Amino acid sequence: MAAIELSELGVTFRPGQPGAVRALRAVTLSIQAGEFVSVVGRSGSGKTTLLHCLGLLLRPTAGKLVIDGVDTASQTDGQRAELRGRRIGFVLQDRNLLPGLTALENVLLPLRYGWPRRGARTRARELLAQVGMADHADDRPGQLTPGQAQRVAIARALIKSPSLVLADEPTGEVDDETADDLLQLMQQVNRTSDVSFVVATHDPEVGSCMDRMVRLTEGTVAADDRLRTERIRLSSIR
Amino acid sequence: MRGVVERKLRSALTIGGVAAGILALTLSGAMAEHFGAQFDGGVRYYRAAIQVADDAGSPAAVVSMTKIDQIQRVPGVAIALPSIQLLARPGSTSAVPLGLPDTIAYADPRETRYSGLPTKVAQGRQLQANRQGEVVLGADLAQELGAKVGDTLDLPVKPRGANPDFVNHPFKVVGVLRRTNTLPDATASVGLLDAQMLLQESLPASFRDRVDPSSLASGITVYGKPGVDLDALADKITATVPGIAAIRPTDYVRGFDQSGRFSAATIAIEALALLFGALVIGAAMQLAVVERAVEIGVKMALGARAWHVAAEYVVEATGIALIGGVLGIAIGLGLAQLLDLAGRSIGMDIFLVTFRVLRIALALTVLVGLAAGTAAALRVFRADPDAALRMV
Repeated sequence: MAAIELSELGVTFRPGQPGAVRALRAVTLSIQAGEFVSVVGRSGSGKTTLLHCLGLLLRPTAGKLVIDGVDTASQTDGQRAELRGRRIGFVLQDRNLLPGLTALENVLLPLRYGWPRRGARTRARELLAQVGMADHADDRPGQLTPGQAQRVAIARALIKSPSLVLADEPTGEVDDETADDLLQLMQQVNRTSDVSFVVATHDPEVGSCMDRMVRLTEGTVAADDRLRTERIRLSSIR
Repeated sequence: MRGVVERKLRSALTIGGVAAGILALTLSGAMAEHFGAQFDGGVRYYRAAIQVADDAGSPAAVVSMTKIDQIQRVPGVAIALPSIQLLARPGSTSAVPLGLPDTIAYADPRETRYSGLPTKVAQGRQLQANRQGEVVLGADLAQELGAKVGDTLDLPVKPRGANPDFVNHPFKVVGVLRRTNTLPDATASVGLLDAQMLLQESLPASFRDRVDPSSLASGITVYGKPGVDLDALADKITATVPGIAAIRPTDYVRGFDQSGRFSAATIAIEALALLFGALVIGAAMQLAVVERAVEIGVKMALGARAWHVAAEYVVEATGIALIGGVLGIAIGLGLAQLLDLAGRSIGMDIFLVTFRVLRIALALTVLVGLAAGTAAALRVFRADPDAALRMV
């Protein structure tokens, strides 16, 4: 059984009203546990909408979304939030760390919402060490470079040991070298655990560094390519 | 609460706004308590007795002691007692026309058995019969005059620019009364002979020498027997005894209506202060929700439910309100003390900070915080995390 199944998924904003926008149209995808998938497309192609559907932040207006065997359409907002908190980690674009919290506190943030905190600080420090940010645990986001902030965001996404990490333009605000480092880091996490990654990016070269690249055009899947089993570095294709 | 620290300037302004509202509320509440206590004391005293005054055109508002026996014979009267009241500071005008004037008074010792406003001595002793030159001071008057038991002071207090024929006499302070927050606090109690002497000296010169001081009183206080309707008894006294007017207790108490209007004004001030505090914190919290839309989206993406985030706003608003409220109360307490201290010498002691005021101020502070937090929380429940995260 696939970790995530999308069947004829559609999202229309302001349905039935003048100016209705069909952001996703009949998207059918299947993502296996441990897969490293990129969703590539131009701005407005539906990448973020797809990610937000997968992250249960947005209810599709058509089709079916099954996560770990659970049909999410029939779930209440509370059940969706619970499933999101338990199974899904998010890495967002720049500015997604809370500025008043230290790096360590940002990593611990998801545990604030109904999650056991026993041993949490140790786990958070281990994750910061894993993403190379052990020395910055007490720094606030304003003291971190964009690349360092994204490393902390990756650690935060992993604090609840999710089965799926959704990353929306994680390299959008960093230089090529840092982007390469971040991709390496996510690849490393993906390789050493069974966590699936779905990374939305406008950059086809970033997308090509992953196992599989789903290309979106105007809300539809234009291509779904399995690229390779051997991962490559961004620097080798730029 | 971390948001409070993160947004120092806005938090400081919000806390300042709440503090200003609660400060106004504390001061107006303390003022209402002060005048309320005075009003209640007056009502208790005057509702329990009939006040009798001269109605025969006396040039100096005095009543003859001979009327006492006549009143005493009216059926339903338990006891009729002479009362004398004079200004302790003649010629002085209060800076604020509020509160009770300082008074030199004589009240018959038997009155304590009937009065609705009994007094107790805090220091020293009560007056003793037939002893002259002694005074027992009310708590406020003792403070105003800076007098304590054993001191000697001249009564009435000589005003600035007094006429050359102004007369006063030395009195030894033998006692200071326990604070009642009403009439007795501003009173200097003296014996009957002393009071009659002072009353005579206060009369116009043309009238003064023609009267026997021992026959003088400024009024007569009448207590009814148990179960007697005092208003009906007052009417009966007026009808039976010539040359006097007995005032119905209910009519007398109605004269305090002004205090009622003051209380209404105070409540209006309190409501405005509260509204001001609520608007300040409410606006700040609403702004915080709008401004932190991305943060709300991020938190929901990380697994927070809407009520988790909403609860954070309620806690933050209540925390801000509490900080502002406690600050406002503290400043209010200090200011009330300072103003009372400064105004005491001119009889402008107008604040009474009670636990009730503090409890109400604190409760309303929490209420304002909860209301502002809840209003912000309702906005959080309507937040769309998808839209919020697109703002990143």
